[in-house]
Amino acid sequence: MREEVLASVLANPRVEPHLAIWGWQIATYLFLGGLSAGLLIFSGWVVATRRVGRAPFAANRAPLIGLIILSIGMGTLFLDLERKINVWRFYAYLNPTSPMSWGAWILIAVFPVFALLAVAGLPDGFPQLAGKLRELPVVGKSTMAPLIDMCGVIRSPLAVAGIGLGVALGIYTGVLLSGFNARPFWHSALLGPLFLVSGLSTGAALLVLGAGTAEERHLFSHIDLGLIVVEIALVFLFLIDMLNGDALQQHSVFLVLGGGATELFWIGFIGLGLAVPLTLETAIWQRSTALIAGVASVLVLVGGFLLRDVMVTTGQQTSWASFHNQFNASLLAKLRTDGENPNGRF
Amino acid sequence: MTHYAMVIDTKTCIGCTDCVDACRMENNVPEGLCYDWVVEITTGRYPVLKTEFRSERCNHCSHATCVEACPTGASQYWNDSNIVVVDATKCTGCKACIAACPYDARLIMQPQGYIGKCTFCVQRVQYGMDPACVAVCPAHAMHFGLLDDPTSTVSRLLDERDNYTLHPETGNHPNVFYLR
Repeated sequence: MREEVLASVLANPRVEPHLAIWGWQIATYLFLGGLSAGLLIFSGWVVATRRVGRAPFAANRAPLIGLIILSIGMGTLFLDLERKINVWRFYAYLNPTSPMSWGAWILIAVFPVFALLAVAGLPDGFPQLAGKLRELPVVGKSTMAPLIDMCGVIRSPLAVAGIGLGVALGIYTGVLLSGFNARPFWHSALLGPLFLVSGLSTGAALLVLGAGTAEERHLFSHIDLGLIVVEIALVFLFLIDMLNGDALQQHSVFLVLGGGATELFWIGFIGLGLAVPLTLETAIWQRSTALIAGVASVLVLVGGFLLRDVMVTTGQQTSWASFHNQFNASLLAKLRTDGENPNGRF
Repeated sequence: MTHYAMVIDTKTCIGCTDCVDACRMENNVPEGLCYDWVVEITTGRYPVLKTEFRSERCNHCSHATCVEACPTGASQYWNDSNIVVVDATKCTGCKACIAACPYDARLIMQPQGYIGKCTFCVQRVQYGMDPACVAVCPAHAMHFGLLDDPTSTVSRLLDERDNYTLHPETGNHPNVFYLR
């Protein structure tokens, strides 16, 4: 027998649940970041390969929508910071060994390219908005009109840069987690490609939902089907990787193979987020209907969020250290009437 | 790099948790939080059981993954030593270091939001004093000193006694040693 019990109290999330590392904010950010990366890559691809006519929504409207989505994601990332006043410190330093540092700098590079690509799409995508911008007092004629024209001219190089930066953004959201040797469930290099493919898949799903023409909807519906197949393959490779890993990884993967996150992972993510859309999109491979394609796309988006949520929540529960907490905080709290934190006394 | 180490004798430790209280007093740790903790390990089969106490804290790793994971340089080595400290003025509270620590030795300071941890009491060490936990240990089970100096108490104890570190397989090169 070997039992390790805490004789004092450890200020650790598994002892004090409110000390959990990352919550919904990071899961949401990873989801929205991946989604906007997918939109940026597809938009860049459509523009760079001169498919603007075939996919008008992806080329003209998606960059602005993606930019808004990325901004919301960065907003939830900001909400997660415990010391928000120091947020500028991300841009006062580059730590080459820190994926989060890389991510901060990737975001600052993605943002202007995304914004300029969005401006380039305005005249065709949002003509009213473009018109209003051109007629703004003071800055309209002098700044906005030339800016919109200039973005139209440099649209192709912007699109190529967007593809590269989109791939970096998509992969980084996975590497952010897989870079932690201390959390066995995250420690697989497959998370980078998995999150990138998931981001592409959710991006394609949003393009299906917003598609301007039946041809565009069909195009991204087909692309999404391929991405879902790749994503399923990567998920199973990830599970195999964990099951063949060291004892810590084998133990951690059981959180999704019978443990607390099993239902969310298998019914939510694999079932509703991958298997059902795969079936629906296969069924409409020949003749696409907007309704079924739309349902499949919404499910892909839900699945994309569930993947991030399960990974973020489950991963931080796994650790090298494992103790039994001698003090059951929830039981002790029932005995106390003054509301004092029972762990606080030790 | 100056190489500090803590050596804790599990043969003399009685698990009184005085080190935890001394740390709280010295470092003004907010109520309910702690930089160090005591683990009671029971091994064997009843009635032949063996108990060992281990006072645990940040291992001030020579290869600290928390320092590597910090995006702003707030987590850093103190004065070219292996002592890992957090510069609160640079810390954004992003919690990457909490995720990166295999020993779960980091915590969010309430209510300020920066990340707190054991600092080996650098405010005492810089004047040649022992960390508060070592200084206060009533069983004299804790020792602190320089591993670079072969005549120091910690070097001598590690030479003479069987010892181990926690999870050396992380590759972090922890510097808190336990004698058995």
